[in-house]
Amino acid sequence: MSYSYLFKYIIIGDTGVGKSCLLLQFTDKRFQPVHDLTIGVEFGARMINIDGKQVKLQIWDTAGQESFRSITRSYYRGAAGALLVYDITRRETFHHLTTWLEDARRHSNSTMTIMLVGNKCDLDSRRAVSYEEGKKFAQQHDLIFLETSAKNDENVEEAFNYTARIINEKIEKGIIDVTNEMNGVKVGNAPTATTNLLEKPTTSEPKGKCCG
Amino acid sequence: MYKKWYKNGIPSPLRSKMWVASLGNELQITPGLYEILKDKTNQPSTMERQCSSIDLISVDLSRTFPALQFFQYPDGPYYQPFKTILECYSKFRPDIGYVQGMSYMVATLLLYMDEYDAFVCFCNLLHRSKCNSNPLAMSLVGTPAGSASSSATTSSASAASVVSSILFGPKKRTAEFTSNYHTLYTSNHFIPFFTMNTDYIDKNVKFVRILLREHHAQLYKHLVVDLGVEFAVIIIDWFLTLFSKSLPLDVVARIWDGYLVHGRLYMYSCTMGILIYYQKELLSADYERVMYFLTHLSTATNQFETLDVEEMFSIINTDCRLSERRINKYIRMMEK
Repeated sequence: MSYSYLFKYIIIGDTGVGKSCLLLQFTDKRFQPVHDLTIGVEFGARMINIDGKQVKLQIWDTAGQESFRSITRSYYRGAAGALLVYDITRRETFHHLTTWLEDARRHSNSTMTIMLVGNKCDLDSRRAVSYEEGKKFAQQHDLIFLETSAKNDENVEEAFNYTARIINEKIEKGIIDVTNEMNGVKVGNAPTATTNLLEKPTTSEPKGKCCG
Repeated sequence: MYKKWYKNGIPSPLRSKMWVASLGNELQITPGLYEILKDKTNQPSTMERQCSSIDLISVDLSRTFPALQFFQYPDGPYYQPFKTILECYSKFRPDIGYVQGMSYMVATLLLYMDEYDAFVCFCNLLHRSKCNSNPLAMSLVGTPAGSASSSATTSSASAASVVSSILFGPKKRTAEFTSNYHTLYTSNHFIPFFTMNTDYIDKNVKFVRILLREHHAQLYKHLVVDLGVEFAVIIIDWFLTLFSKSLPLDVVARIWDGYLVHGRLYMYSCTMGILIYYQKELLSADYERVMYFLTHLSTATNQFETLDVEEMFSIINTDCRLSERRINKYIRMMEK
């Protein structure tokens, strides 16, 4: 299927916070109460629409355990967006965010958009991290923030789409150089506004700005 | 007898005995040691790494074979032994601790044997120095020191070079060959995988690509050349758990039968066999479909009720059968 852009995402965060469930809800529109463990990395993809453009998302869902960090790190490079997930009912998953963030910033390109996701907001009675705390952390570290429920399909769509809209803005502003695949963005073959754009790729303009 | 089992798998009632016998007990684990380890699991740990990995076990148990009731908390009959074995292992080897993926292997063992046997088998599966069951190679290889350690690639390269010089006579072998030979063939792969030794894993990935190129040029072209499929993702999942997460339990048991007789050769045959068995799906799929398919193989095998086990094993055991000589040839290709 043709698309205007391809964005690469990575989902990171402690084990058991619901990374695979978020992905499954986003790609398959279903929830599996007990999801299989993720060993290493799993893959998912979906097409979304951003400002009338077809955008293909390739999503790498990583294993949360520390042991796998050396493998998952290689997926930071070449990702345009990251969903950093914690579990609002387990405070330690919130405490570990700083480490995750350091790791992500060190191994990714500087233009990567990071969305902080507080998952399992359906379990409000067992909440251990308040919405305000999550929001504050996000503001301090310049992240976008949402609370989600993979179970009830709350804000899941929004988490992936919001990130894509910001990546799209960064492309339009020339912050992301789309000719460099390491930035996690690839220009597709879909005709955007007019077909002759293919002759003069949309990439030329942002590139100029970026370099100038 | 072996030949027949190789073809059809070990008959279920004999399987437990065969697995225990083939794995042996090089580590000399005793019931006494197991009791001591069990006691230790009740004491609080001082090591941070161990602590967090032990907490993880309870979280992960319910996520291992979620469809199988007998592993589930609190009523599943296998729940307690399952948990105990993993906790004891992380006390036995606190330097490695519990790593996700181990639970699938312990579960597979528990389906065929009791708790203590499963613990002995699990530890020996991971740490035995001889994982290559080819009798000739086994008698010659002996026990290369430190071959199970994560730094094996370099530390026992000299041991491997002695072995290969015995095996292959005067023909000159490069240092790279002997190191690759060790990494890809004679060493036990589990600990380098569980400790995420990236050099070791990268070599395995590269080797699997060569195998695919030599076995099925068309699949190789489509997956590697055209789509640039990341084999690392698949190899980690399949090799780390010895296929136990990705395939139906009866298929897994037969793969383990073959692995315990033939060692790492069989792991490679299975990898090729699975890819070739699904060649029709793979050849017609784009990058996204291929990656999804291969990282969710259990979903695929569950969905296609039509999984033809006999056909799959016929491909694995006949078309993808590997000999010592072929392995050597392919390892030599690694240098190019």
